[in-house]
Amino acid sequence: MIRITNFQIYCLLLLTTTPLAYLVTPMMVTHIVDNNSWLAILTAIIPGALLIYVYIYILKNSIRPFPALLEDCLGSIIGKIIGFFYIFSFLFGTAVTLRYFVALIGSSTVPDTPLSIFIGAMLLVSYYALKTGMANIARVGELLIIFGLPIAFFIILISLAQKPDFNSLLPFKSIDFESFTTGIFYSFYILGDLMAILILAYFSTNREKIPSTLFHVLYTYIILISLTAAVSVIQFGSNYNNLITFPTFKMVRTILISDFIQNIDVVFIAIWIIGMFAAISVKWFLACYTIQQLFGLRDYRFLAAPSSVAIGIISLMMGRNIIEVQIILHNIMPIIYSIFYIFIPLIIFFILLFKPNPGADIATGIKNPVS
Amino acid sequence: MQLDKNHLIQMNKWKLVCILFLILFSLFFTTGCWNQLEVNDTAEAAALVVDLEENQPSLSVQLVHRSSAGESGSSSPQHINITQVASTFTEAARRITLSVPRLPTWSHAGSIIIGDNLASQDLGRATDFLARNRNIRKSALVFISKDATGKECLDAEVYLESHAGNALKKLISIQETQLGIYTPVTLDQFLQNLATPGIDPTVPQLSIQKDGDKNMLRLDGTAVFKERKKVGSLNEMESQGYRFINPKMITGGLIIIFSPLENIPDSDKLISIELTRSQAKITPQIEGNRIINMKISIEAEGNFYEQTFAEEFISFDNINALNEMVNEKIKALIIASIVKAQLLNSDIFGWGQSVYRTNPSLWNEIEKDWPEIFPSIQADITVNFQLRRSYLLDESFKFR
Amino acid sequence: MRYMRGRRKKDSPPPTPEIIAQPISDDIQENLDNLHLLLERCSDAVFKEFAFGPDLKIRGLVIYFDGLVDRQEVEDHLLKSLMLEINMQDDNKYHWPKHDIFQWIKDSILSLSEVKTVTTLQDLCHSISSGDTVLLIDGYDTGLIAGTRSWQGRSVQTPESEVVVRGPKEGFTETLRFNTALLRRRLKTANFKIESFVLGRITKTDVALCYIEGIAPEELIAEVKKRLGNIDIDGILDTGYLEEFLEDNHWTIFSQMEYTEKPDRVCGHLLEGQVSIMVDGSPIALIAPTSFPRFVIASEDYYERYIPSSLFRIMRFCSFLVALLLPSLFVALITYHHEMIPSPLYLTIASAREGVPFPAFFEALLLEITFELLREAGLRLPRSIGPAISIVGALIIGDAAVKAGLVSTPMVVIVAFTGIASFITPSYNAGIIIRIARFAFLIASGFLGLFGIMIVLLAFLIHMASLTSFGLPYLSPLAPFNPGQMTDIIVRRPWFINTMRPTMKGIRNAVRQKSSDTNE
Repeated sequence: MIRITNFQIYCLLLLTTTPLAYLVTPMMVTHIVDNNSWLAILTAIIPGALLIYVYIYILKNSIRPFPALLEDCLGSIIGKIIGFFYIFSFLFGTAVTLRYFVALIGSSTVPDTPLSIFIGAMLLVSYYALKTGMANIARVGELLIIFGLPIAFFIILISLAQKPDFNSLLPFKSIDFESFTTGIFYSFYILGDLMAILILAYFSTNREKIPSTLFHVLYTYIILISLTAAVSVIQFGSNYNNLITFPTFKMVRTILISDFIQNIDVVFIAIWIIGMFAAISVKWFLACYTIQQLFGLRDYRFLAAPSSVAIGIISLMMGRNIIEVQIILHNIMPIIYSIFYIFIPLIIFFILLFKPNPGADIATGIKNPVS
Repeated sequence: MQLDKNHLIQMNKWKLVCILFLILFSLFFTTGCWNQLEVNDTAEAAALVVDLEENQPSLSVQLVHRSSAGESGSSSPQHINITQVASTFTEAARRITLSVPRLPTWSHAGSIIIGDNLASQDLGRATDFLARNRNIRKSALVFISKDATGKECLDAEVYLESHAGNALKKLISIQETQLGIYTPVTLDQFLQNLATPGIDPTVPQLSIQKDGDKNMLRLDGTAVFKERKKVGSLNEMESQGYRFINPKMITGGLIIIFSPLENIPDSDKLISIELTRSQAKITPQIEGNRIINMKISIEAEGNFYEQTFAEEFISFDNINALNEMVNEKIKALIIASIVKAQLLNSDIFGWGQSVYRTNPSLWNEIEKDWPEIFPSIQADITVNFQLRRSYLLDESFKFR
Repeated sequence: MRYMRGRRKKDSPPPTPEIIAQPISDDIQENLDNLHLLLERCSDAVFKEFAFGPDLKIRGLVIYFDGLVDRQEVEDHLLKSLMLEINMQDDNKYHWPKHDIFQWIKDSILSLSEVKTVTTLQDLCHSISSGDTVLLIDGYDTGLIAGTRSWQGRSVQTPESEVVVRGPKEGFTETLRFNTALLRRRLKTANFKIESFVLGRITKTDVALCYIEGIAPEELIAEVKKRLGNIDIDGILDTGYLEEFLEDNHWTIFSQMEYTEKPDRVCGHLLEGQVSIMVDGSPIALIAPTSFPRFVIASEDYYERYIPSSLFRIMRFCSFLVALLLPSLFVALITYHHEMIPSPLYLTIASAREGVPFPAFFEALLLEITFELLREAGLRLPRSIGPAISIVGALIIGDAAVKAGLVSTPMVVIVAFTGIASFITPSYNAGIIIRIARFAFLIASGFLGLFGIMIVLLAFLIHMASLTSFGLPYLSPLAPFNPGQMTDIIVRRPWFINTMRPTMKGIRNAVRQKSSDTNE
């Protein structure tokens, strides 16, 4: 049985949500609400908290981890069918994350290298991680957060020190309710990745503390992303920002330290490879684990090989060019996220609301088994 | 346990074999080594010029001539300038490889010169190239050639420095702290100001000056843009005033004032004030749907640097008079620049943007009419200068 | 002797395995014959037959290997006692026991402190090979083992591989007993346990497992014992043999145990709950379990004041990264990511590389391999030529290569700097890991630039995270993260607040100091 600590769960959840969001969310939200993007992202803390409460409630009232709890709530046939769709959503999420990141590498640092090489290399590493098991991914994830999170904040602070124009954040008044809501949604939907907790909680060594772990993830995510959005607006202003394909990345590119160290975007990408690796590995693990649970297999590790082919092909085939990838990321992903990670958990939440609570002595997602 | 361990070893072995195989396999494919570029095959571009030549995009590059290891101090030319004219800028850039056997690496070009021709016709032809190309460094400084093509600027020399490209950066930054006339503009700022409504960019100008038979490069004025093209330029005084209204804090600069002791300004009795820092704050005064004026308040500090007369000057009473005199001078500089900008109808101060920031709904209404509104806006300028230091003499020099 | 050989040729005697399995006979002549057979052609075996007792009726036999025993002691306390001093008690002859002379000799006659009995020829052979002397008495099927071990060994010296400026300078020797004595002298407690094992079918090597009872986790001790028990090999000549048997993961370049020649360092680790394994004949003690970040710790850190030690330790971490990544980063920069190099530096590097025929990747590989060659050559060379080689290698080859335009100066600087940085790592086995891994990074950077480096780095991280050393995760306390312990890894925690031992699974008595208040 895998045993992971709550800090490791924090790291894993942060690594699934943040790396892609760090690149995408500030840009998308800035497109919608211009210079108030950081406000929209900050406000996303409210739906985020509600979503976390939904997950916590599900955890509190279910005895078995995620794919099985679908069957508990919806009946075994419907549960299985929906679980089957979840596998695809996880695989697709992995593939999109991979493809987008690889597109970033390609279009900004090494354009001549074929995408397949990058995808292959990333998949190879993630495959190796998956083969060594979830507990190992957790340990690696921990290491990445310990070093990666300070670096992410450090990068933001350095770019803030370049030529800040804080007035770019003004005005507050022009907030249009409709676009602001859309902005909140766009900064919130990626938090659907937190659904991983429905599986991970059962591996925790201290299940009672899971809620606070989730909230820590939420706070870190909100602070990091809103700070990024704010700094990129401070740096470039919202209009110029909207022209740029990867504003976060551009932000790093403008860093100039004492007129000597410059164009350190490659370093940033190099570090972000690590975050992306973790994001891919965790989502991939979720897919493999769901398959294992659904079909009652003995282990999930051997599934890494066949699914790697699937992920590789999906991510290569999903779009012929960056425009198509952007469309998938901006239009299709939010739909998938809101159906699978927000809407279905909500249904389960309501079903569980009218179900009797499990007894006090039965271990649930946030109640440790009595040993 | 024993069995378990053996099992583990077995698994690890297979894993290792698989991974080694996969890595070797992928290495087999990677023999192409995309993007691999040896330093030996590159030529460092010190400066980049975009211009129009007979309405065709033209691109010039200043390539640094490397001396190979060991033979340092040779007298061979230190750089070469290459110009190509083609239908697009990218094509022109790539046509350079017809005559140069190396790949110019623009990523090291610290300055970008926009030709006068291009600037006064249509910047739109080059902005996409400048913004999209990942090899062009966005922190490079932008200049505009004045009364010359960009290529001529590249060919001109700069005192002491071997490449004009590298020299320009030092030229403008040292000038800024010492004299404080021109503001350096990076490509990013330039593009950002072009892309943002309610602000127009400015770019320092370069002109060519004869020194004997040599053509020397010097900074000369600031080009003012309106929408897509250059509409005029600020002279030194106006450039200085423009620098004061910059919302970012400025450091360094020099202000010359008349001695406040004289009732009539006497050009023999001057005082040099070294500016240490100055911070401007611009707030539009809005009443209803009308902009009354722009309130510009400036907090500045400086040091007493020189007086060109021998009378006793520094005293408690005179300091206030001096501060007042500096205030007036700064105000005059600012007014000069505002008048010029309004004359050219180019919102180089970003007043439109500050209206937007304080009152976005008003801005949405007046954005279309901004070119008509801008020239008539009044500025309410208050300057608060404080003298800080008087260096090595705490009195004036006395003859006895 | 000649007679013996002749006889053996005539009617081929039972082969050695059959003889050695026999018990000691009560007929001394049979024993003598058997032993002669067993130890035939062992020219260092000494047989001394003698007679003693009343009227010299009792035959005795003393056997030992020359060179392994203290002859003086054999003569003074064994032969002299039996042949001379025993007769001085002649005046009361009735003291001669009628039946159990053997017990009487063992208890009263031999003036040696360590006397044991032996009943089989196998044990007898083992004892004399270990340097004991065996006394056989006619009529008894038991032999007496007299502890007379003494041989010429290296004296306690300063270890060459671990030089310290401040701190104890003693090092282990090849003799296990001396080594345990060095430890016992530092740990004056009955809780310090030295458990002994004999491993190796032929070498019969003494292996000692040292730990402090009440600190070291019991599961750990049991696990080590179990793994030691599983070893079946003909010979063990160094702790290196054991390391490969004891480690958790075999398919890796990472060594999962530390080793040292310094008794003070072993004691430091024992006090932190680790165990140490020593082997007779080797001055190297193994320490288990360990984790990767600990390889950066030098024992001197704990003897120097905490501020300099902490700074040095941070510097060591940095130089570790430099030694691992610098050449590959440089190659990645100058072949893939030109824009990242600061412009003035770029011009310098470019000018220096002008005319160099090799691509940067091959240049780096070439220089790295040359460096490794020089390093290995310097290690094996007699001390008198060593400096000559380093002069030829470093100065002449390097300078000539640059002058001839074969390599560029920046690359020489980078490789040399990397070499220096790799020497900063205190433990030699971590240094080897760096040296091997560096090539992996170099190749990856040659193919994919910084991206390749990161991929390999990730692969290494995953691999390291999957390793354990006796159940201790190899990357702890980084992963699993343990903030309390991090302060004693990244920096050196001052002694006055270092109240707890590093937490290890199952550690007992984790409190090191009662509380920090006592230090006021």
